Amino acid sequence: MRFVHILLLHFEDALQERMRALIWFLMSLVNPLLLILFWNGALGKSGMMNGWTRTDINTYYLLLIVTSSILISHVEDKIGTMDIRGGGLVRYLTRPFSYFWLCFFEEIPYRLLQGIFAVIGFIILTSLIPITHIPPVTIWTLLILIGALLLSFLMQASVALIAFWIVEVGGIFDTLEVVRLVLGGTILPIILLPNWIINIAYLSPFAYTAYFPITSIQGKLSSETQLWVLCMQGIWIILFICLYKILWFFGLKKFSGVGQ
Amino acid sequence: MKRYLRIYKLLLSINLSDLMAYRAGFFGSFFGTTIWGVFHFISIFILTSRVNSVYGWSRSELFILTATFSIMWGTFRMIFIKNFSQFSHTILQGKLDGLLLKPLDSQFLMSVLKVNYVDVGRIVMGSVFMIYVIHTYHITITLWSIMLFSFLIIFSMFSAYALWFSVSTIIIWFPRLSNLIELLYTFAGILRYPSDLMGGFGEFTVFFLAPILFILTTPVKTLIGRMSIPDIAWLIIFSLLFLLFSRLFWKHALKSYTSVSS
Repeated sequence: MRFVHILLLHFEDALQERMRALIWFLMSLVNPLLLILFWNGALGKSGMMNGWTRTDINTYYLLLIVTSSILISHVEDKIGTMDIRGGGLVRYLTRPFSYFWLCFFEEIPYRLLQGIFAVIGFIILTSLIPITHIPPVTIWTLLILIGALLLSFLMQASVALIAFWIVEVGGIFDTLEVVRLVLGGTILPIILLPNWIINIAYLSPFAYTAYFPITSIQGKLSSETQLWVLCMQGIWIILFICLYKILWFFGLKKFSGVGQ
Repeated sequence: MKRYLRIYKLLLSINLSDLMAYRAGFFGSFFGTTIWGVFHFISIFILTSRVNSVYGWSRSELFILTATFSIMWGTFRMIFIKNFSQFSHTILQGKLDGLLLKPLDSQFLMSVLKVNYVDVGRIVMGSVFMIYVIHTYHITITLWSIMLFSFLIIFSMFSAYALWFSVSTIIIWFPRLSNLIELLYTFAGILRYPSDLMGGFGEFTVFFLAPILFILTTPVKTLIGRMSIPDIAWLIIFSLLFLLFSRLFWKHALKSYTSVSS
């Protein structure tokens, strides 16, 4: 119940900074729209690529706008730069709450607010850009979406803890973001990438935070594949929980309380 | 003008000393910015891996466009980006007061006080990639096209600067909107694609995006032998007019600046 109160408090923060949230959403809008135009020019009106029609690609990128606004966390800067490097962690350590869950519930209102903008944007854009029919969301798809949100948050939070040992973490965050964009299916649906990249992407956690959730919403995944995606998400979530706990345990001993 | 050049030379040297004092920070940032440069090349490789041409632009021409983006955007970031990033902080904290009191032009101080040397990596990377593409795809480049290209890149920089500065000026009225500058970074991504791409949004959008669209496509077209006189004239006239607008807009905005908590 106490986390519900924290969640509601941060909703107020998020609503107070709604214009900032709108700008973050606009940022997530630009690249997918450019890529839609790129593929419309490349494929022409009746073009197909590996079984993907032009409207399939349009649908994919428009759903990417929504899912990246809701599912992709950006806590690495808060945890790594503001809290660990800047020393802001001190005020959290003295509170009777888990730092991890505090950060999680601080992040959720921003995801939801940007998600609302994204859904409105999606509805407007689908009236201008032709898309394929999206089937009703099944329980499996819903579970994949929840798994993607947890995995994305855990991954970013774990990597951010490296700031306990390294002062200049910006380069590491940028590298992680670039790898996520390539292997997560943000440039192109993974299935359309060269085979060797597909193999790497399927083994990495990134595909399970963007590509698979989107293709699941599109109805492109069979029940067996959805189950396999959930298993892979589960494995990655467990691995990142372990990594987070280890880094937190040893990192906290390094933390000097006045910033790193 | 001579005085400002002398001051800028001094600023370059101060920023270099600053860099030497925090070498670890430099390498961290250098790595970060270079990885984004690499990402742009990876993106265009991936996007063109299954198609031969897009809107009449061949794969090699798109590579040239990406390389030019890397050079131009790297230079732009090196000279201006740290200053634009601090815009909101400077205004929100009332630090603009100090700048306005200095016996120098406030726009000059807001634009070039900090130099971001880490972006040299992007410029070098773009140049090497361009030479590689020209050599590999046997693209014929004349001395005249290189000269015209370099000349137009200056106007591209003017346009980009005017656009960034004008949007940053809005922060005087909304000082908490620091991520407005980050939105502009995202819009810079448009430069990596041919201007013909925007036709898909309809003429209305093209009209509003015109300043961005011509920034990079026009110089690249001159380099690859697809020069268009109206495009060149449009870029030059527009960049000069836009530069003038950014100046007038800044002067106008300063009238609304009320120091701390403005």
